[in-house]
Amino acid sequence: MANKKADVVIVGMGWVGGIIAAELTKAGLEVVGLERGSARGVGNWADDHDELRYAIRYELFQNVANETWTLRHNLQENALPIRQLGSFLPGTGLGGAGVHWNGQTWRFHPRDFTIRTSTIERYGASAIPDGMSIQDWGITYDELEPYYDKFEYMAGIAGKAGNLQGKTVPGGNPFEGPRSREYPVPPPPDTEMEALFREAATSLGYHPFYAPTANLPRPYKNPDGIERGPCTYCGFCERFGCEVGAKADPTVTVIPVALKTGRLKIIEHANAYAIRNDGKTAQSVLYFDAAGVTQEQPADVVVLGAYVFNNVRLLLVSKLGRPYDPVANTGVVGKNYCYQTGGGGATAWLSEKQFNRYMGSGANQVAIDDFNADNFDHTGLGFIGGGSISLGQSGARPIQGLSVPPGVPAFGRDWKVAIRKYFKSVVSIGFQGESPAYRYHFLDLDPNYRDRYGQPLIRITFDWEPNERAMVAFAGQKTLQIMQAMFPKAAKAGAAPYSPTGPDLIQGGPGSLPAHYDTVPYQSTHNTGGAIMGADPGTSVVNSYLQMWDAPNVFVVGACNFPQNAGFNPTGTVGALAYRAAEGILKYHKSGGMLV
Amino acid sequence: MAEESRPEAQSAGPFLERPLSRRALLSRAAGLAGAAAGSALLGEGGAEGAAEPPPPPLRFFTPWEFAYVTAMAETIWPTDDLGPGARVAGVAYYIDGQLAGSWGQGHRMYLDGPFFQPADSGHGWQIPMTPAEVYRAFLPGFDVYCKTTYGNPFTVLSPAQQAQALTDLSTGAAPIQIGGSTAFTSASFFSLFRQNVIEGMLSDPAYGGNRDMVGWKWVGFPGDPMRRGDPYEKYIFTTKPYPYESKPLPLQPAAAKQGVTSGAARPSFHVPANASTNTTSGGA
Repeated sequence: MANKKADVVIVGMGWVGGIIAAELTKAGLEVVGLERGSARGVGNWADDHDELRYAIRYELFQNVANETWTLRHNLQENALPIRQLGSFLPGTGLGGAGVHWNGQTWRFHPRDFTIRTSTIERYGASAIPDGMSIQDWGITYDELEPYYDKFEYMAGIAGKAGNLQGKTVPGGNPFEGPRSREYPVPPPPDTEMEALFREAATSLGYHPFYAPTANLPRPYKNPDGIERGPCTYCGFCERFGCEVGAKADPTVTVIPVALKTGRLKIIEHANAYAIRNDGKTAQSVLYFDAAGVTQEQPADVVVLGAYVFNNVRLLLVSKLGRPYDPVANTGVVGKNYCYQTGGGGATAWLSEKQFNRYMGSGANQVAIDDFNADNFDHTGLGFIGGGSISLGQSGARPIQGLSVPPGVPAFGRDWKVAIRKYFKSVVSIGFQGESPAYRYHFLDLDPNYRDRYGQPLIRITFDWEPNERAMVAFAGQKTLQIMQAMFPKAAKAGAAPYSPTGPDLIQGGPGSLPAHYDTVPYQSTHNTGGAIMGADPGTSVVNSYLQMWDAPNVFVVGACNFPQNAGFNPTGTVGALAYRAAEGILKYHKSGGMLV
Repeated sequence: MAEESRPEAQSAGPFLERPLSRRALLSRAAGLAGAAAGSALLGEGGAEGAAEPPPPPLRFFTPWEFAYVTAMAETIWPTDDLGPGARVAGVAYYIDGQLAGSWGQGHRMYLDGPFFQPADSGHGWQIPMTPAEVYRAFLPGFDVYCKTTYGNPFTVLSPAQQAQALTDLSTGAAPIQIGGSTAFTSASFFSLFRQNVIEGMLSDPAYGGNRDMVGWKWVGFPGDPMRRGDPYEKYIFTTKPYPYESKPLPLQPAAAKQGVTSGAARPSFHVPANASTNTTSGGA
């Protein structure tokens, strides 16, 4: 027998589910949230400064023994299961990945939302390589701005505006789109290594600024009346929950607000596996309960707020929407899977200077945006796109934080001496690049492998392409240049045999990507696409309210909506889209029909 | 390697050796205990070695495996005149616990078939074995390799030979097979093992390694900052050195937590009364 019908059922209780639940219940709707994990909150993290348990053994992440993904690099290859977590770390449990994130909270550039049009306008159609399937979002930055603002004031994002209503203001990011008002919280001061980066970047004519952070530097009360205290800079941020609630997460912000209305019911250990539908309308969400027994939650509106892969899997398993076929180039569900392009960083190992590296917060960083998006002239460079360059101090924990220069042996006495020498003396500048969409990068259902419930796994088809290789090669030269300006006396690492009494060393230069996308080393939990938004039902799954073109009472929301990924962390944009969707759901609930 | 074709059965690890006599068992036990007690003396604060508790019972390793892993870990992170290493820190006990526990037993691994050897790079672990099964299957092969290449088991090789044998693993030069399969290479085992040693030196002492926090003291990591109720905020934006790098504190033992954290140190949604001074709610 089905559960009592709700106004809205939401799959997944992370940022998307939490925001939408808060907005809808405040407006009087009855909402059921299906969460596959357990309830949890700030009280769970009182004793979580345990690197092994949380960061190395993955306490807070999806257990791939139950459910994983398969990967192939191209259509010809055998897709193989990702048998251990590595490259990306999706969360599970109340709050989702919003609990274990770092808190880096960006807005995408105005150009990112019109990437295809803007690229063709400036460089001509030939600038877009064959097979690259980038497209405009069907929404502009200016249209999304009020929702970004809402997310930032709810979460208490600390930062400094660089563009207030079209006027450039000093201290912020001069390349950002216009903001309607200043950040709700001012940024913290620079740490010593951040100050060196800022000085070096300024000396080179770049425009450094404090990167926006969800780790509160001072107490903050948000428009919902939620009060949170400041960060302690403990250094246990990404992969951990925040024991003082200083890091904005759904369990200390939107979920309590929704629960307080009395109109949100959260069902824990509810694994949604299908949407009952007739091809035009959804009736309910089917889920396995804690006993593995099928249950049904009917609702007027179905919202998919799970992680990228599960939103797409639910649509494909439910035969809702048109599955993407890259060979025939038809359909849309699964299309334009993208990721985040790393590489292109620079590292310095200092012989004398030490920093308090083990202190930090996840989003503690100074950045430049001079080489992101289309903020620089790409004429003759052989690639499009760019990325954010930053130096952060997120807290070095010892198992993951060891670093030695090239030439030091992998073990033994010399290695032992070097890890001690450099634990507090290594400095890194990172590059976080765009990931453009391609015709043959996509998601579908794997024909061979299944999860613990017998449902097919998502199959990822993805690899690095020449455009990104050229971008990373370019970026590596820029990060090296900044590092050299920070430590002008340093020698090139690896140029001479390593000596423990030698000078400061820098490794950098043209960046590179591995021969193939590698699922083993951690890179980024910024998977995107598969249920992309757009203005055209022929090339997108959802409209600008994240409402499905093929089923108006279904809203699919999250990074799955990005037609391609920008050179920024996704959460700020995911939060903005969730507020946009909530507004759309309220409109739909009132008057029905297609909203666009 | 010339030894590649040597028949495996000739020296296929300790399980083909004759059963140990009772006397040999006793002396082996004494040797293990002696090694542990002796190593404690090398540790910082080792002068209190008299009160050193007896080593914990093994949960996964056989004594032979334990001795092998102890010697291999010591080659990765040696105990020397500069400071304690893997033996003193109890790294082999750490790995023993990990292999007996959920990680070693593959509780967070997808091990459903079918299995294929990848056509290209980037696919990671693609065999049906758990880490514990890999250790158990790999060590006898490594023993054969050490005997055939260097004339002795790893445990009695000279330090230079031990270093060379591990280098042979790290480069993949040691042609070690598991049941005739080369799918799990010696280089893969080396990275797995090296990572486990680093974990055993630098994880919380609660996991059996990093005894007396010798690993943390070595690199200068102060442990759990919240144990001092002393948030880093007063230091992170300055060049002031943090005074407790050499005196790290581990996670609070469960027993000690009773009554201490209930209420007082539990964070809440509310800003503490002293919020205007920008101090933490966690230490309030």
